[in-house]
Amino acid sequence: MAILSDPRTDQPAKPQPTALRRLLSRCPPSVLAAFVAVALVVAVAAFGPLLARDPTAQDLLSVLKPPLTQGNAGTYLLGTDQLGRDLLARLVSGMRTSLLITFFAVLTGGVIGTAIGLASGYLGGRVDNLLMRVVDIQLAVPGVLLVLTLAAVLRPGVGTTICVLSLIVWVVYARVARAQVLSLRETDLVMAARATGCSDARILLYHVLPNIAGSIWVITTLEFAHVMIAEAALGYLGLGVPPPAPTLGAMISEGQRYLQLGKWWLVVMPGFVVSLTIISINAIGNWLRDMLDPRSRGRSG
Amino acid sequence: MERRDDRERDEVLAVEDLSVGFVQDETRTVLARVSLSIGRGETLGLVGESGCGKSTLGRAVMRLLPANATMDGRIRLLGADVLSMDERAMRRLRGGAVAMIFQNPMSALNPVLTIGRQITEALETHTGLRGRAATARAVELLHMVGISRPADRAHEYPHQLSGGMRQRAMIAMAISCDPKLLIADEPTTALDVTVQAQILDLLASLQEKLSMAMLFISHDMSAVASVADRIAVMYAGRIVEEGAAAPLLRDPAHPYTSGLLNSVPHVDGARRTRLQAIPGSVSAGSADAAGCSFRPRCGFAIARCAVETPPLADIGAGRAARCWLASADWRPAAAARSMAT
Repeated sequence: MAILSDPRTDQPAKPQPTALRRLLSRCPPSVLAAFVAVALVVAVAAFGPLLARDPTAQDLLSVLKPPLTQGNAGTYLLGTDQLGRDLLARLVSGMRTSLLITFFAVLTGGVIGTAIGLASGYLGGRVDNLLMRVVDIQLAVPGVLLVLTLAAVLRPGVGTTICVLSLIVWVVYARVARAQVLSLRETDLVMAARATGCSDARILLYHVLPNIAGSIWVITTLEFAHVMIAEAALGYLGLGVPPPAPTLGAMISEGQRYLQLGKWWLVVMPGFVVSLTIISINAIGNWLRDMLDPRSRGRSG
Repeated sequence: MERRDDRERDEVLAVEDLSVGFVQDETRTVLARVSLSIGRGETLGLVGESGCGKSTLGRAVMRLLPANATMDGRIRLLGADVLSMDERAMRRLRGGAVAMIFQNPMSALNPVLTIGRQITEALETHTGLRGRAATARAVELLHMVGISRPADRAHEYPHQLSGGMRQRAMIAMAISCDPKLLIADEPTTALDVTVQAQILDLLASLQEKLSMAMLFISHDMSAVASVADRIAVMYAGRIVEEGAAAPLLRDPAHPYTSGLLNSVPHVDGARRTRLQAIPGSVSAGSADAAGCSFRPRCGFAIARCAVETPPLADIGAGRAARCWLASADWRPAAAARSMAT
């Protein structure tokens, strides 16, 4: 926001603190913790693989060793898996893959879905009918089934996984965006915007989109968690990024076979990272939604 | 049509035989051959009960009606034919040469954009102003509509302002691009009385300063009385009486106008006199029916009223009324008095 001080007016405007600082100053401790957790997860995913060992290197003399075991390659902080691979290295590398896939899948699906929902709701008529029937058809097919079929047919890889996962996301955005636009379209708000000479695109972008941003944020956090789990499920079923490259889901899938043998760390470590990320993102999302709506910004606003 | 001769002057808006219908299973007529004109700097007050089509008329002028509306007739806005204009030219007109303010500023202002941002948006759409220049102009406009500390207010959101402030901000938006015509659709209805008076004063002074014409739509006779130069009274999609404000208010010629005026409470009036309500309500689709649409509620109706729709006829002194009885010397008030005795 620009700082205003106009000589013609009664008094100069108060300097505005930066948006980020204002946001953080109203941040409850739980959200702060969530921010720290997400920052940590992202940092580890970004830089961890540079520092950790090779996630595919095997040490067949130290197979299925618990955390803090000494082995050929030094101390295995989180233990090793059934092929003697360093679990920490695999975890760090898996986090990178999983987060990247989830982020881009939600981004792609979210942008496409929101755009389609906005257009559908605003234009109405035949366009709306056509688009919403496509959504209905897709929703009639169980999402996991659709994703599994596509993942099985297409060549596995990071790109394919992103595309396939964004497919389950876009419908949610399209539906929510459309419903919100439908109710906004009839309000004075849109009428007034039209009366000022705004084009349809401008109305959607400046007047409708900011008003539905709260809901979009909420589904983004929900969908992030949803996609992260779906990605893990794909990996678990062996349909995600092909081995030996680790993903969190594949690690849990491989590890659970050894649970009965008491090798808990194979499942608990990646499981913990998945849960931590999802819970933190949800907490941030809830808080952000309140912050983004000027009406509920409350006390100090 | 009979009274067009003196209207060819500096016209800002001329509506000729405008009919509007809404199609939903069947067509429902909302406006039936309405004609009116507004000269430069003039204020036309458009009065009538809810549902008589006055807001529809305001919106038709800016072509803001929903997609299922059918429009017929001619609307000339600053010489341009509105109904045949393409959408792009129409957009340039909206918010530019003709602007609109709404009844409820809370729902018409964007709740997630600051007041300043909303004004600069209008400026960006129609003038070349951008960035700091636009912001400075927005602050100036807020100052012009009487908002104190405008530079601070520009950073506030609509929910942080009071009702009167919001309407002022709305007015600032509307006048931002120097409109030649301001359509005010019930601008004071949602406000309390003291604020109403302030807003009316503001509108009148801005109008003078910017020499813009105004179409003032309201069901509130006293609000219209305080701003309008001329008044058009609407009933069931038709104009039933039209004329200069003062004589029309003092001496209404149509029974409906007279009824409207009788149902307004007067502070200075005799304390114990009952207010006279007009019996019944505007019946749906009555613009389609034969005969005078006000007949079912009219105390003076004669046989002719049921079969023939009266024209908007000249009754002298630049006034016109749509009533078989109305003439230079018949007035409903006097007729009611003589009926009582």
